[in-house]
Amino acid sequence: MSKSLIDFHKAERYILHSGYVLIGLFLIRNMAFHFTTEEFWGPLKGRIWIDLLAVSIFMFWGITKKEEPSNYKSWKYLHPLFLELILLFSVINIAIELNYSYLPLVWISIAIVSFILAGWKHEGIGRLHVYSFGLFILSIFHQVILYNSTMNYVGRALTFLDQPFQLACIFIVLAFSYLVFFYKRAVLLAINWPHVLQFMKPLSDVLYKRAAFIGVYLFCAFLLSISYFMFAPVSSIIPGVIWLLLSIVAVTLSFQNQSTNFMGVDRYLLHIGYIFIGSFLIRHLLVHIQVEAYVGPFKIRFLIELLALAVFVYWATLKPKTIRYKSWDLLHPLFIELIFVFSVFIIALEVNAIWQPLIWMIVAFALAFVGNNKQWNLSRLVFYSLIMYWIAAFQTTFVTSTYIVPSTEMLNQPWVYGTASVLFQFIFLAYFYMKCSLENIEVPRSLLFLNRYISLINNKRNVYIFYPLIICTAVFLYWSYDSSILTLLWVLECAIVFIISILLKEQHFRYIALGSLAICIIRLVFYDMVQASTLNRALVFLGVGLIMLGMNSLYNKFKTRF
Amino acid sequence: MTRGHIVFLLLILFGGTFIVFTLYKQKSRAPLGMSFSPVFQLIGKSTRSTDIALTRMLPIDQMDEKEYGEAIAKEYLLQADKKDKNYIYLNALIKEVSKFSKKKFKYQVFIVSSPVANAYALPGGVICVTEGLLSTMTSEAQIVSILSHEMGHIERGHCFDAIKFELAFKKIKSGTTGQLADIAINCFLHHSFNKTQENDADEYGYDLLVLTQYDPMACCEAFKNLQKQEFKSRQSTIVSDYLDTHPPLPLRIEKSGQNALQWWEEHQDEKRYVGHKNLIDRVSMTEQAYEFEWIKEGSIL
Repeated sequence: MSKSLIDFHKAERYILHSGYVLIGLFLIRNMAFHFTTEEFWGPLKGRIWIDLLAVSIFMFWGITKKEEPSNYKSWKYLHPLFLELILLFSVINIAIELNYSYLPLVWISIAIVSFILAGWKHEGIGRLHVYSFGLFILSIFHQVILYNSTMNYVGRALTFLDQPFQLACIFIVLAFSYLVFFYKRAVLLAINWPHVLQFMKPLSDVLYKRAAFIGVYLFCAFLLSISYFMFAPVSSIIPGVIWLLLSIVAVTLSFQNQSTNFMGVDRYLLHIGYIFIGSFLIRHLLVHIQVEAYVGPFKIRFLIELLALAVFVYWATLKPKTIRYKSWDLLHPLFIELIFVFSVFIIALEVNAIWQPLIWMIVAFALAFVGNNKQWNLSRLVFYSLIMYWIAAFQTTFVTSTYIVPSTEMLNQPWVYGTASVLFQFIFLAYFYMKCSLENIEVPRSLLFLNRYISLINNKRNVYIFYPLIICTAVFLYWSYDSSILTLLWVLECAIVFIISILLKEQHFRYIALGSLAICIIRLVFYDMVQASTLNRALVFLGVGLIMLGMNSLYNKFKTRF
Repeated sequence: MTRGHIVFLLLILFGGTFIVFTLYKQKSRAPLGMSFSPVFQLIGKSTRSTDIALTRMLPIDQMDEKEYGEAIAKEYLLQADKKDKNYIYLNALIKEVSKFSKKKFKYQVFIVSSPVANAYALPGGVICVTEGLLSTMTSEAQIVSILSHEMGHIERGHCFDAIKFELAFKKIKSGTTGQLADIAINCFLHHSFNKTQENDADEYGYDLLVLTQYDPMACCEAFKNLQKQEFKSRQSTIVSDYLDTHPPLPLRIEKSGQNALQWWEEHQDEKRYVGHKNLIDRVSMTEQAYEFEWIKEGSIL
C-alpha cells in the first residue's frame, strides 16, 4: 500500500481545532444575534431549540474520550472545560429565557442536580461539588433580593405557584435539602481540577475548611431576612416568633449532628440558634411590646412571651454529651439567667403594679426551692431568690404602700397585696434562714464574678437577710399608720429584733433593737405626748411598758447568750 | 435527646404555629414599627421607683402639697372668669370625677387661653385645660378621660415629686435652694422616667374612666383627636425616644383602644355614656343625660 498523502494524526488534530473554532463562532453568534430573535418554533422559541441542541452537542463533546492518551495541548487544556462551558451556557441562557420569579428556584435546582452528578464516578467532575455550592450562594442572594423587590405583589391575582410567598417556601425547602446533602455527602478534598483551573484548588481547600461556617451562617442570614420579608407585610410580630421557632430547630439539629459531626456543622447550628434567640429578643423589645391586642383573655404579646420562656427552658434542658465548644461552656449555662431575667421582664411588663411585690415573692420562693434541690444543680438560684426578696421589700415599702388606685373595691387595694407581700417576706425569711445556704454556690464560668458578691453576703448573711425586712417594715409602718399608734408598733418591732438577737446570738441585732427602742421612747415622750389624745397616750404608754417588761424578762432569762 | 424533649419540642412548635396563625389572622401590627420608647418606659420604672423612695424620705406630706396647691389655685382664681360656661362645665365634670380621689384635695379646673390642645396638672389638685383642647375633643367622655389622666398625675404624686425639694427646703426657709435642686433632678433624671409617669397617669385615667358611666373607648378617641393635631409624622430614633416627654400617641391609642375593646368584650350587657351633645351644650351628664348618648358595645343605642 502506498503511503497516504494525508497525515491522519495531524488531520485529526486540525479537525479538533476546527471543532473548537466552530463552537467559538457559534457562541459569538449566539450572544450577538440569537437573543434578538423571538420567533416561535412550536411551543418554544426558536432560540431555545438552538440552545438545547447546543447543550446536547457540548455534552457529547464533554463525554467523548480518546482511547489513547493524547498529546494535543487542546485536548489537555481545553477539552475538560466543556463541563464549565455547559454550566455557564445553561446558566446564562436560563437567566435570559426564564421568568425572573423562578430563577432562584432554578439556581438551587441546578445546584442540586450538579451535586448529584458530582457524586457519579465519572472522572473529573468532582468539581461540580464546588460549583453547586457557588450556585447555592447565588440562589440565596438572588432569592432575598427578588423577594424584597417583589413582595409588594403578595396577594395579587397570580396563580398559586406564582405568588412570591409560595415560591420562597419551595426555595427554602430545596435550599435546606441541598445543605443537608452537601454536609453529608460533599467530597471537597480529592477534586481533580483540570490544568487550566488549577488556580481553583485553594478555593476547594478553603471550602473544605469553611463550608460549614459559610453555608450555615449564610442560610441563617437568609432565613432571618426572608422570614422578615415574607411575614412583616402581614404582621410585624410574626418574624420574631418565626425566629424563636427557628432557634429550637437549629439547636435540635445541632444536637442531632453532635455525633456525626459533618464538617463541625453542629457548632455553627448552635451559633445560629443563639443568633435567632438574640434577634427575637431585640425584636421583642423594639416591636412586640408595642402590641396590645388580645386573644381571648390574654394579650397576644403575653402568649409570645410564654412561648419564648418555653423555648428558653427547652434550650436550658439540653445538655451536651461532651463540652467541645466554648459556647456550651460560656453561653449555654446562661439560659437559666435568661429565663430568670425574661420572667422578671414579663412580670414588670404585664402584671399590674399593685400585684408585683407579691409576685416577686412567689418568684423568690420558686427560685429558692429550685436552687435548694440538689438534683437540678442550680444552687445559684438561691442567690437570685435573695435579690427578688430585696426587690419585693423595696417595692412594698416605697411604691406599693403609697400607690393610689381609683377603685374602692377591697381586692384592688394596694395595701392588700402589700400586706400579703410582707407576710410572704417573713415566711421567706424563715425558710431562707433555715433551709438555704449561700455556701458552695456553683456559678457558670461566665458568671464567676458573682462569687465575690455571694461570699460578701455570705460573710454577713443574717445582716443581709434580716435588715432589709426590718428597715422596710419600719418604713412601711411609718407610712401606713397614725403617729399615735406608730410608736407602739415600732417598739413592737424593736422587741421582735431583740428576740431575733437572742435566737441568732448576734449582738448587733441587740444594739439595733435597744438603740431604736431609745429613739422610740424619746419620740413617745417629746412628740406623742403633745400630739395624741389622752386615751391613746395611755394605751401607747401601757403597751410600750408591757413590751419593755417582756424584753427585760427575756434578757434576764437568756442573758447567757449575749 | 430524650422522649420528653421530643414531646416538649412538638408542643412548642404546635404553640408557635398557633400564635403565628393567630397573628396572621389578626394582622396584628406594632403601631410604631421599631421604637425604643416602650423599652425606655419600662426601664423608667426602676428610676421612678428610686425617685419615689427619695420623695418618701423627705419630711414632706400631702398637707404640704395641699397648701402649695391652694396657693397656686388662689393665683389662678384671681384671673378666672367664674361665669364662663367652659369653666363652669369643666368644674362640674371634675366634681363628679374627683369623687374617686383618695387625696383630700379640692380639685379645680382652670381654662387657659391657648389654641394648642393641651392640659396639665399642678400640685394640690389644680388642673389647667386649654381652649384648644375643648375644641379638639368631640364628646364629654373624652374630656372626662383627659381630666382623669391629669388627676392621675396628682393622685400618683407626679406633680408632688417634681417639687419635693422646694417643699422640703421651704420648711427651713430656703425654698430657692429647693427649687434649684428640683430643677437639677428634673434635668438629669426626669427624661428617664417621664414617659413612665405619663403611662402611669394613662393607666390611672383609664381605670377611673371605667369606674364612671362613660365609654372606656373615649380615652382612645381623645388620643386620636390629639393625633390629628400633630403636624408631622414622628421619626423614631433612640435619642428622640429617650427625650420624648410623653409616650408616642400611636402607642397610647393602641393600648387604650385594645383595653377598651377587651372591656366591651367582657361587659356586653352594659351601656355607657358618650355625651357629644353635652360637650356642645356645655351641660354635664349629671345635669342632663340624653337617651341617645348611651351606647352598647360600641354602637349608639
